[in-house]
Amino acid sequence: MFVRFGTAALLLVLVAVVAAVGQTSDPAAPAAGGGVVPRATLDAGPAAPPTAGSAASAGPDTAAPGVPVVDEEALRYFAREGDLDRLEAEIRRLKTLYPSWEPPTDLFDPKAPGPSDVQPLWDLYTAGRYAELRAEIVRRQLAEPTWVPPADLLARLKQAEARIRLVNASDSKQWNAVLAIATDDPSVLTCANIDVLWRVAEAFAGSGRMDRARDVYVYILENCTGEKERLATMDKASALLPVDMVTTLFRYARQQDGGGDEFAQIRLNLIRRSVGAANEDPSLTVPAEDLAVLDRAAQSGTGPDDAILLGFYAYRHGDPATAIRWFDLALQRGGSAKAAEGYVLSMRAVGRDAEAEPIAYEWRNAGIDNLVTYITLATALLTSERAQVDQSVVDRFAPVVTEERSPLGAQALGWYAYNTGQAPTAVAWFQTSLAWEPSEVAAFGLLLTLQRLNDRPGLRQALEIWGTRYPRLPEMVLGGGTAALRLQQRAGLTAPAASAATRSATATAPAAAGLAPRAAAATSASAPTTTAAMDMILAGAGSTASPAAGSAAAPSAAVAAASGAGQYAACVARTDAGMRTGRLSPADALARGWCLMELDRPNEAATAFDLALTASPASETAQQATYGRSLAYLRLGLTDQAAVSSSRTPLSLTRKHELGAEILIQRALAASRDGRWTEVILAMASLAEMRPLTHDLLMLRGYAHYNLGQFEEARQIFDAVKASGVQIEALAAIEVLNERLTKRKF
Amino acid sequence: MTLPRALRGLLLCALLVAAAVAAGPARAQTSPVVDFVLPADVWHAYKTRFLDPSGRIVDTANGDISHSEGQGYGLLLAYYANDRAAFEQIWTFTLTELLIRDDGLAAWKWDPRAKPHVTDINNATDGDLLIAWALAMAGERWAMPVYLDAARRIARAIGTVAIRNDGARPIMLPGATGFAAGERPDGPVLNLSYWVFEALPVMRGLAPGYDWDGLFQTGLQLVVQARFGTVELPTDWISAPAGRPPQPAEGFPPYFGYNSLRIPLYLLWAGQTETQLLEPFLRAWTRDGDDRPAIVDVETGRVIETLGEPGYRMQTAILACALAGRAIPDDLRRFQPTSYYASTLHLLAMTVVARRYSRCL
Repeated sequence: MFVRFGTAALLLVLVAVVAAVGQTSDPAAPAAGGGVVPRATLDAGPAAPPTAGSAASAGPDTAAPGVPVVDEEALRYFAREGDLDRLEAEIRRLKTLYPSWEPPTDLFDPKAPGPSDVQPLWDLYTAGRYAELRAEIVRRQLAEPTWVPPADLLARLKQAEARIRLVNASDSKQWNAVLAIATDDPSVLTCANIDVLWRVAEAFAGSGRMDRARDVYVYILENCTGEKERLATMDKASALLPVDMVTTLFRYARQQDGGGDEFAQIRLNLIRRSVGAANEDPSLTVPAEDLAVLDRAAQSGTGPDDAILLGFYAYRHGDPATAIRWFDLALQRGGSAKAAEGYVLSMRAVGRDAEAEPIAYEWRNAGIDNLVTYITLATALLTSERAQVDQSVVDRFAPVVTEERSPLGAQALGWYAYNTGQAPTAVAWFQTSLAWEPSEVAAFGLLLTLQRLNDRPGLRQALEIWGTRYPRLPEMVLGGGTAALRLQQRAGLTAPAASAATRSATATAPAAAGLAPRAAAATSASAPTTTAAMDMILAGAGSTASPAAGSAAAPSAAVAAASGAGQYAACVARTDAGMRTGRLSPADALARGWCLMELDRPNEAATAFDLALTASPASETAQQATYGRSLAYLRLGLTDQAAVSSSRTPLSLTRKHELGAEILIQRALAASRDGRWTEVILAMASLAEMRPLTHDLLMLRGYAHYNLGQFEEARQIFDAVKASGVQIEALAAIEVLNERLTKRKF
Repeated sequence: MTLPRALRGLLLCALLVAAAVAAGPARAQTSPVVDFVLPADVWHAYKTRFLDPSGRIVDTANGDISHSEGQGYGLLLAYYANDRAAFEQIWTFTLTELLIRDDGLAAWKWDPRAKPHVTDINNATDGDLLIAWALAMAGERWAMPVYLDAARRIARAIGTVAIRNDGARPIMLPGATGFAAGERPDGPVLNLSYWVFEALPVMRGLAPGYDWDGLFQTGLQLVVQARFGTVELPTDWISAPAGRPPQPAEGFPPYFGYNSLRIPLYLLWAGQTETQLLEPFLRAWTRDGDDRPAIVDVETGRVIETLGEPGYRMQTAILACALAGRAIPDDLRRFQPTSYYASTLHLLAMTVVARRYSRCL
């Protein structure tokens, strides 16, 4: 694909680019003609031989013009200095430049030409004291007007200065300056200055000219032979260029003696990077060819890491069966936390939750992800109507829940106890969950259980606390709320309340509980709250309800037909696009939500119900969507969106605690914006158990009391804040309070 | 070393010149310019104290950093000392370490303890002006096309990057970023001490496409307009929106500060001796009769600091010379290095006196 690069080609790249961006830093620079030749920039006379710079950058195809006068000054200087490395390099350079030239035989002869009068100049050059060298040259020229500095020295000095300047510009990310300097002094562009070549490539990449950067890397790979430098070049290219461009560089790999090419490891790393990226963002895919390379490496290797990478790739790209095999291998090879997490996730994806539970439990302490995975899995097992749960699962879950203060886990244990006829235990777990983190669903569970126990004082008290906070609860539990449970029944859904019969042997028979939700629901089956649309969606094929009766709330005909025919998957598929754009009508979103519930995809159902809730709040659609969402939550065992995200996002335990506090604060702020002052106070109370309230939160709590007319409580808080030294705000608040109390007199 | 000795030498070889490079603007109506060579011993003392072998001028009072302004001053003084080797030395550092910006201007700040040494890639336009000016004069005098080429490049870059027309007049931004009308609520923010008046006609020769003459006039206007408080002095940083009188800029101390000390020097250098331009400076600096310039809070009139180094008192001396014909005091005719800034201003003022106001010697 690439014509072999010569220096001239690289220069052409530079000059074209620099000219294009108007950065020709010297107006006298020659225009790029047929071939680009570096401008002779030396101060030396025209008879000077090719300079060190141009020689070093010249390919073998560059013939020395005419009969050369070989400048051996540097050679003799390095010999005198005993600098053998430089001496060798200089001999190589001169041989390349003048193939017929032979090094002098008297280099180490004490009688050889001694230190010349330019020795001090070379000393300054070697020491990198370029400004002093420049000054010294001027001094010498002023003292001896006929004296001409050695051309070789000047060329090297100029190159060194250009290199320093280029590096400085590069360090300051002045990409155009880097390219302009390289164009002015192309002699710096040699394999000996590979750092300069890298910086030129970086300058191209930094200014968005990736293809030019790639050309520089190609130039290096075609011309520079140092093994480490070549590897470093690939590393740098991998860091700067898009992956597909890096891939094109592998063709320049050289075959190694032992077989295999020199960049095999780099290529593998690049593939690992791609797979890792695709694991983060499943919309990305990795070419099968690359996956095969990694597959081979994973098989032939002994460590677990590649297997874990491939496992997550398979899991995130819809192939959990393959993923299980990789994670299994990784675990066998001593793979730790990530392997276990991936294994459990993949097992869950194929519905083998119960089988995965022991592994999830075993690895729960390996990392926060593992803990979250375990709690989520156990929660799902305990609240699933399908799974048979061993008593041992429950027995080892409870201590973990207590230890981690998991509101989600406590809820799950609550539902499990409720459904196995252990109502007093259920009350305790729901209360525990609420204490750790208030949630509507746990409050619902508590009320339901108390009702079942026929504990009227307890129910009244709980309603006082939670009914204010979650206004839908009283109706859900006592009144028309049974409609929700009836809906579950009619939808063929089994909320946790309805699955006792399939539970463990220790469970009390559901029939024994006269107030069991299922029974309660059955008795209220005639409650007239279900709309026609609901009926249509829920009734399945046997429905006799008329879609037309749904009027404004009715889903579109297509969706209705699909769901009405029980084609739940089709109903979901048809509403997919609208869901993504958010343009689905509330009625269609509601229908979609119910279809997803049928498909046992409560998480997505919750999202659909959320969209349905954009209907006007008083409408049937909105009310039903609210019920639907609660049911979806029940099915999920999730309390709220924060809990959903916290189960997805890896969090340290400390961070998790902070997040809990943060959620409470956000809830309090949201509640205060909406004027739900009781909620503000409840959130503050929960938060105060976790950590001392800051002054601003105390002030918020004070204002909440104030707005509820609880002036005495408000005053106490403001006084406390004032006493603690934060006076201005508290004083202002007290002033408001006093003013209000004064007004109240009238 | 004493200046009188130096000046005796100077007067012996004094030449009336109308050198193209050094020619002031046509509007300068003062005494003719006399050629002048900074005495070798004076220059040697300065170099020994402030010129690092690497070619950088070290700001000894500022953590030994260097800046484009210091490099510009170093080049100018090397030129006036006729020291080609030192000029080359300072230039080498300036080129390789500071002239690394995409737009061809110099990075303003270089810190020996930082890596990379350039800690702020922004430029300072006065530094660029000083460097280009010195290069132009040196290139002309010593027939060095390399210097002239570099001078032209920098002058063009200044014209492109720093000169803006606000609709009524050309202005000069103090840096490529952070000062323009669109970049600050009170922008443009300008610095009057960045008007190196004498350099502007030279820039016109280097980069004819820009309104250097207009810029010269803007500077004179602003010197008259930017008089704040009862002391009637400018602040270092002024907000100068088009069509409105300048104000002290937001976010800077409202001080007539170290920057502004140079304004009279730059005016006198260019032969601008009108009382209207210079009177407030002289009044402020001679208020106590001890001729020490002061850093003044223009809002309160409070003196923050009085500056007693000879190089600072020399600024008062050249003002009194130009406006009142007062002779330069004997002790200021000698040079002993003190701080970088005072010493530099001292030598520059010596040069200005010798070239234009030798009647005060």
